[in-house]
Amino acid sequence: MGLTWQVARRSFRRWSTYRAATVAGVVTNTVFGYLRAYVLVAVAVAGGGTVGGWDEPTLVTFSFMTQALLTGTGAFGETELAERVRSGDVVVDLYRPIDLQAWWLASWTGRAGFAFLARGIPPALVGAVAFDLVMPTGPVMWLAFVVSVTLASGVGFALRFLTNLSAFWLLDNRGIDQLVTMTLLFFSGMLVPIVLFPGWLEAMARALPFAAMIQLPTEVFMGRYDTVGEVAGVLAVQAAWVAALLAAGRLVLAAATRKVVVQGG
Amino acid sequence: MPSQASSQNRPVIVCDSLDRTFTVRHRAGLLRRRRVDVAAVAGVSFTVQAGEMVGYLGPNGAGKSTTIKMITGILTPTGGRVETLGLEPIRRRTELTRRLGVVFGQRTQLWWDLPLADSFELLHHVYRTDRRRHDANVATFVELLNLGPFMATPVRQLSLGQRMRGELTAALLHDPALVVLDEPTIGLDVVSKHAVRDFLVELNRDRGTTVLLTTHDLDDVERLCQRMMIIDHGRVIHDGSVDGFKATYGTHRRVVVDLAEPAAPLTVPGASVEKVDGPRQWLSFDRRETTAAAVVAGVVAVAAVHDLSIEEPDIEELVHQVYTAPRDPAGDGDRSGTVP
Amino acid sequence: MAEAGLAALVQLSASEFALRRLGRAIPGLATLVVALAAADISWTADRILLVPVTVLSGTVIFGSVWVATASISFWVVGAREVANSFTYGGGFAHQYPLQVYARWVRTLLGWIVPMAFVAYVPAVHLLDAPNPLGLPAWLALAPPFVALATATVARIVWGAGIRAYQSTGS
Repeated sequence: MGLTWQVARRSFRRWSTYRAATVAGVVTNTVFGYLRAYVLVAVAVAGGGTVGGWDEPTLVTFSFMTQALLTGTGAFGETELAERVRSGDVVVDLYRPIDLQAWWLASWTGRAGFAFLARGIPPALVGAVAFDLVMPTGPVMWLAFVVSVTLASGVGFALRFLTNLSAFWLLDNRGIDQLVTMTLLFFSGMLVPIVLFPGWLEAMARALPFAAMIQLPTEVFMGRYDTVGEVAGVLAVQAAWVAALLAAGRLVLAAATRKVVVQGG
Repeated sequence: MPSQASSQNRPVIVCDSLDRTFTVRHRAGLLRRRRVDVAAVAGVSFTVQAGEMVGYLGPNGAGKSTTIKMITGILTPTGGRVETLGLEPIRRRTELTRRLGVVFGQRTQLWWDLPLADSFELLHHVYRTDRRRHDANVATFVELLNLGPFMATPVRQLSLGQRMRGELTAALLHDPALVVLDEPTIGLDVVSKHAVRDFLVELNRDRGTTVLLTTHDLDDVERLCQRMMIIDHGRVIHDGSVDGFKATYGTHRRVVVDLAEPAAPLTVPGASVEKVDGPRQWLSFDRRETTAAAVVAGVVAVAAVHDLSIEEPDIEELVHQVYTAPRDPAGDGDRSGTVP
Repeated sequence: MAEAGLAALVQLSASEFALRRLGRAIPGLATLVVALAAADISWTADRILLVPVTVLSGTVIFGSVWVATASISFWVVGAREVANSFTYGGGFAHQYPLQVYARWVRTLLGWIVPMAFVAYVPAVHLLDAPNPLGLPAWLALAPPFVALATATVARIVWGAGIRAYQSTGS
């Protein structure tokens, strides 16, 4: 699909031009990796060496890897589509023979690609140099990790696509956006690894798509799943969320288009 | 050769008793809301043939954009029928967009952060146009609109005139059979306006592209369109040639005389003095009742004239008169003869 | 000239003020009340005074850090995120006991950007908590002075930023 590649390519290039912000972002990501690592280690020490079954190296790895994945999986969201809806510029998109969801997915892919490269690798490297991180054992696990991260970003896109679409109904959808971000941060493992939740809460978190964005790919990285079967199971869960949320996105997009066309909204 | 040759016989746009009503909620008292139906468009019917260049005028809120949205498939009519390029716009919107070009005066369809050339390249992929045809079009438009100097400039850094020329190109790269222009010359400097107008004339002439132009700039209409439609309060109140409009509504012409010295308003049979400014007087006469020559003779007979000129009805004035004239009580939109 | 800069800051803050932003302080205050009640504190006069003084000083320190780091935008366009390590980083770090961090974090985000005085130092004194870093007792009196110092630094940086902005005229 020539168009997909063209859009993704240009999105990548566009985001790569924000040099100062990228460097600043990398520094912040890395600092937070350190901070969260120290806090979790202190919790572990107070708990006799492990917390939720995770030992210190695992907790430190978790802190740095989640920081590395943060930007690329879109944990902090984006609002470009919502702004186009608010300003009415989205009508220009409706005049084109393009699939809006495919377009934004292509744009997201370019952006995420740059994010993983520029803001994902450095914090992970720093963590690996400064501490003993728990790494994937062997090429199969590395491959599984790459697939997991790709799916995680897909979940992130599909989720944010839905929140952006809410702008068709709520002209100011910042409330929804913030609510999703906060829920996401909590249930994805960003604030606290969900293994620290009480059992019932952890089960709930694992049933939600947010964990698929951050917690699951990090667990794959750290080898929390011993057998290939278990890993495949995790990837399947992520893939299922991607499919389900994308499908929901198509339905909502159709409804949004219908609303514009029938009501003149 | 435009690929729309096969549709030469079919009208490009057919509107048949088109209606569009909006439901607006008004506050009626503290808590209750009253629902009021507002007819933005009521019973609009017209046909546009291939190759026409039509001006679509109306005061703000008259129903212009609503009609356009229904023609282009962005809005569902609440009554009546519309067909564009042989397609039902709503149901076959995606297909229609491939053969439609739209230029918004106030919005951009170019990509803000990218160089102009990149926007064109992306559009090649969006519309999946033939590579050679696309490149040929780009080359043609770059030359016609003089885009060369700023093809590499990011769109956000372009001046309005440069951007509009870019927008026009973007709308035409995929050889649309119908182009809808919404206020394309708004805010442009004179040079850019002329460039855009000349371009549109050539486009219509060489490629047979049908153009529907909404505008408040009546110079655009006079220079570009053979036909003009006026919509007001959701109804088409005039649909005909521009010359015909001037003949129908422009019943009055003016003689502007510069007298040798200031004088009281002259009394001239068949003419009335509209304005006096020092030695200059504007006399208006109904051309159905008398002639310019007769009026001039009448002026010369009563005063010493230093210089004079004859003014044709200003289309801007006429349209303004049409907008502000009292409504036809029968409500069927027939305005002929009711304008003074 | 400096007063004009200060006036600009006040005006900016006022225009950004929204009642809903006060709403964010409510959970924090509620937490404070609950925590003070639940903790086993032997209340003395100085400890009772410490609470409002700490809240005020902390607010000033926080605000000063934000203003000072935001000023960087006067010099480098689009560099706003550079400050995030200090503002958000400091904001996160100060919520946990300072001793969990390595030395460089403690120095940078606890003393240089004096976030330690917002919660940690007062808390140690208030709770009579273990003091692994060996902080002297008189340090608990410091927050208001630290607040004053950070406010002064913020004012200087902001003022310099305004001057730089005015001189480039962009």
